[in-house]
Amino acid sequence: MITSQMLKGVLEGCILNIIGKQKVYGYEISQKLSAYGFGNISEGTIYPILLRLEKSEFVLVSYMESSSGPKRKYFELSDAGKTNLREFKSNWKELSTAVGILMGGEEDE
Amino acid sequence: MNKETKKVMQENNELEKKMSKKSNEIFLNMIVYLRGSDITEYNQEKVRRDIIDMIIEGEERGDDIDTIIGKDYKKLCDEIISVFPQKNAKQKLIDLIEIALSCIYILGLISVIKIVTINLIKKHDILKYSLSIGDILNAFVIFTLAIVIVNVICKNSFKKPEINNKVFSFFVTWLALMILFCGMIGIAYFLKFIVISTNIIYAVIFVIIAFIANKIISSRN
Repeated sequence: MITSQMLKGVLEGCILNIIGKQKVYGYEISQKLSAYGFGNISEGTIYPILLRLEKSEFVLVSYMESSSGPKRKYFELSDAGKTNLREFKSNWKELSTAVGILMGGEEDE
Repeated sequence: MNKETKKVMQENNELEKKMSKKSNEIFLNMIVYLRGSDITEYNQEKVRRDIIDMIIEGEERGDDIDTIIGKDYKKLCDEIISVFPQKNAKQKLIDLIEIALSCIYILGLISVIKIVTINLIKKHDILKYSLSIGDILNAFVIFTLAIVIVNVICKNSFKKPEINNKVFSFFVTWLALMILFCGMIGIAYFLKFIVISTNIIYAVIFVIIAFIANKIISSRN
C-alpha cells in the first residue's frame, strides 16, 4: 500500500497526466488512479488537488450533462498545465533515477 | 452578498435536499466548518456546489458518503481551505465592519421600537430618544458574543459534544444564558448615565444609513 505521505508529492503530477490524456471528471480520475494501482483513492481525496490545479489555471473546467445525477465537472489541460506536466515528468525522471540508483546500490551491498 | 453568490447559494440550497439524511448531516458540519474559514462567500458556495454534486452522483451509484469523500472530513476541509488565499488585514476589517453594521441596524431598530413603545406607554415625548452607557455596553456585549459564538460553532463543527447527557447539556446552556441575561439586565439597570439624547428621527436616519452601508459592503464582498 502506498502511504498518503508518499502519494502527496506525486499525486498532483499523476492527475495532470491523466487529465492530459483526455477530458475527464473527478470520479473518473479516482477510478483511473485505482486502475493504475494507486489503491482506493476517493473522489474527496483528489478534490483539493483538482481545486488547486483549477486555481493555478493548470486545468480548464467545463460542465457537461451526465446520464445520472447533476452536471459533471470535466477537466482538461491548459497550456500552463501542459508546461507544468512536462516539468513534473522531467523532475520525476531525475528523482526516480536517483532513487533507483540508491536502492539498487543498497541491494548490491 | 453579491447577486452571483446569492444565485449559487439558492441553487445549492435546492440541490442539497437531494442527498441522503446521513450525508446531509456530515455535509452540514463540513459547510459550517468552511463558513468559519477565510474563504470568500462566493468560493464557499462554489466548493459547496462541487461537494453536493460529488455526493449526489456518488449516491446515485450506490456509494455512501465515506466512500465518496473519505472518512476524514476535517482533513478534507482543511485541505480545501489551504487551496484558497488567506484574507488580509484589510479584508478582515471589512468583514468586521459588515458584521458591526448589521448589529447596529438590527439593535438600533429594536432600540427605536422599544423607546417609542416606552414613550407611548409612559406618555413621554414620542420623539425623544436617549441611550444610556448601559445600552451601548450591552450592544457591544451582543456584538462580541455573536462573533465569538459563531466562531466557536464553526471551529468545533466536527467535535463530538463533551457533555453527552442531553438534559444536563440543556441545563448547562440554560444556566449560562441566564447568567448572561442577568448580567445584561444588571448593566442596563446600574449604568443608566445618558450619553446620547436626541430626536428619534436622527436615530431612525442613523439606522437607515447603517442598513444601506451594510448592504453596499455586503454586495461588494
